[in-house]
Amino acid sequence: MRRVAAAAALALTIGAGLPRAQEPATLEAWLDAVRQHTPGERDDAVDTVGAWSRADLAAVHAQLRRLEGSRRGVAMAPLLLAGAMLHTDIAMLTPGRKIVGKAGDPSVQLSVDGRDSGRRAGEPGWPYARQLLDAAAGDLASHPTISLWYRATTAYMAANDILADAEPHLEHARRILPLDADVWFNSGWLFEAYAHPRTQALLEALAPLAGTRPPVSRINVVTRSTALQKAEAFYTRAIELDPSRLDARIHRGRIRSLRGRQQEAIADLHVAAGAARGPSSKYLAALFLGGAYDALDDLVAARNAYHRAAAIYPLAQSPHLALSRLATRRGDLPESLREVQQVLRLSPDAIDRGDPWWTCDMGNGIYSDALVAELRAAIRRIKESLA
Amino acid sequence: MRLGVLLALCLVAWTAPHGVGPRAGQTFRSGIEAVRVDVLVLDGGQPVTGLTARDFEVRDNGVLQQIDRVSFEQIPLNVVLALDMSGSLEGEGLEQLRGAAGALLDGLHPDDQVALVTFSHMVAQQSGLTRRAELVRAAIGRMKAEGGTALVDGAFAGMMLAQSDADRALEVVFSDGVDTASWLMPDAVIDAAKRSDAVVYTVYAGKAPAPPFLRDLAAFTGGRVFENPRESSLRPTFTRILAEFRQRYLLTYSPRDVAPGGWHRLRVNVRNRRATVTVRARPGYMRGS
Repeated sequence: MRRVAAAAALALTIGAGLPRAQEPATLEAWLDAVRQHTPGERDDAVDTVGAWSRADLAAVHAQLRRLEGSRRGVAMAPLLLAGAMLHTDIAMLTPGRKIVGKAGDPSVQLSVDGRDSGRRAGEPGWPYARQLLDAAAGDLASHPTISLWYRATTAYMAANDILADAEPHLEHARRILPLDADVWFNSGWLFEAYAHPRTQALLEALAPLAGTRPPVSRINVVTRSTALQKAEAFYTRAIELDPSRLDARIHRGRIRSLRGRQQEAIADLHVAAGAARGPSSKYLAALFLGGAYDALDDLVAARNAYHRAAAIYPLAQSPHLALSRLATRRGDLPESLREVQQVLRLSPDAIDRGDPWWTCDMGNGIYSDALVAELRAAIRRIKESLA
Repeated sequence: MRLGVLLALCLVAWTAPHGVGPRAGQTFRSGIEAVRVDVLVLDGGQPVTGLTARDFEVRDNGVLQQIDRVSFEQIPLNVVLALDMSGSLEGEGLEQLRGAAGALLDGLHPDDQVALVTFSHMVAQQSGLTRRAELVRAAIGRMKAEGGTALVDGAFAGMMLAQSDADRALEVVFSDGVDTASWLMPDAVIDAAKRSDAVVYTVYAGKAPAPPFLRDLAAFTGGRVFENPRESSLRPTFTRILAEFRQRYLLTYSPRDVAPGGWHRLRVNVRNRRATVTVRARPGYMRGS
């Protein structure tokens, strides 16, 4: 507690007054901003530090490292966690701001299986926050917050389709939290998202824009088959670390089915369907089972699985479309029409409809709001304990 | 059983006054199955009219077939508009599409039926098959663009709806993007298309080349793909599709001396045709699982 109090004193005594726009980027200004920032709010601290260039941020970080070195024995972790929250909020609350960076500053190179296909600027807030958390990791008490930070920020990236920044994010997370099943599940989500037709179409669109400058950092957006292979490996690791993770098993089953390994997919999905408690998990397990049996030409088992999915979510369109399509294969037009009419009779208003299939490629993104709120509350408590 | 396949009963229904024949939900059963093939004959880009059964030659898996009937403009149409309502269409694109769809409605005959299916991530029937085009026109006015793109799901639902009775089935699929949300796989829907009587015309208004799915869907149903029409030409594209479909002949035959199951390769020719005459029809049909 004494160390925490010392850090609080450090944070509260350096700098004075609210940071103003255009304030020079100094360690004092940064500490002041961290102190003033209310997690989740776009305040002056967010706008001030958010306007700093990459070079400014690097200079402040160097000063912070020197401060850490000179403050041996003083707990810096709470301050670093609060600082990470500030940069996280900058990334989340001002995503469209102009990011100043000179040539040679970090950027992201998109490539397809190692072949360059385009470049885009990365959000500097994420790696900056990661550096701060790395420094805080020496304090065991901060580990739950660091773990929560990765869960919340990855969920946010999943919910907002921020794939390019997510790859280095999760690569780093796997290094520092190798036994965290969530990190591996989220890594599986990322590569499943890479395999999605939407991402693959983006890659096709980027192909003519091959980068001409050497990249500083690189992100390798892989082809569909490689992405599926990696996604399966990451989900497998998540299951090894936590065999009770049904979400990982459901997604691995889906991936195995897409990779043509239907029997293994069916094994995974049966386990998940039998153990799942929530309707969404039960539904997805049944829907994916239907797909796997369908691919095996076991039309009876496929039909049964799709009917189970339809019973769990009567307002979902996917099982009825699948059943209609199955009926066309049997040459049964009346049943095909009946099933498609089940979809066409549903309300045309989105608010009345629901199909977990629509959000299953978001991974933990569906929990983004709750996780980010939990993270901000945790940081608020840490800041309150410092005050 | 259907799939380009109708029954003797159906043949009778065609000649009955419209409204007397079998409608949606009625099941056709008979020992004799007939295959329907929609055929467009052009000479120098202009439709050729006045042809009879004697002018056509149909080969099913290479075996010459006897054509039982040729219809031209006698059978009312079931037109299903399957329109992309994903978020990318918001704004000027949506207004252009509304105008184009409305122009197509203007070309319908009183006996024709029309329906509107939209797809974002959600497939929705905005108006079921009806002869009251004003209902569909009102639904077009209410369309809102938001969400992802379940192109494959939407195209499938529209195709099934179009062939829900004995009328000639035309589906017009419009999209400006790639599929991001469908459960059905493109190959599965192409397989369904091979078993379907519907003719599908696809209109793609995206910046990239049209997705292979839209090309295949048009190709396997004997339709046509219109790629990247300028916004100003979206309206004439839609009216042209309807006009072209009306100019098609509907040939019917009962397959003889061919195995019942599997893929049936079709070859349709006009006898004694001039070199400038072209014939467009689906390349085949699928039967059995």
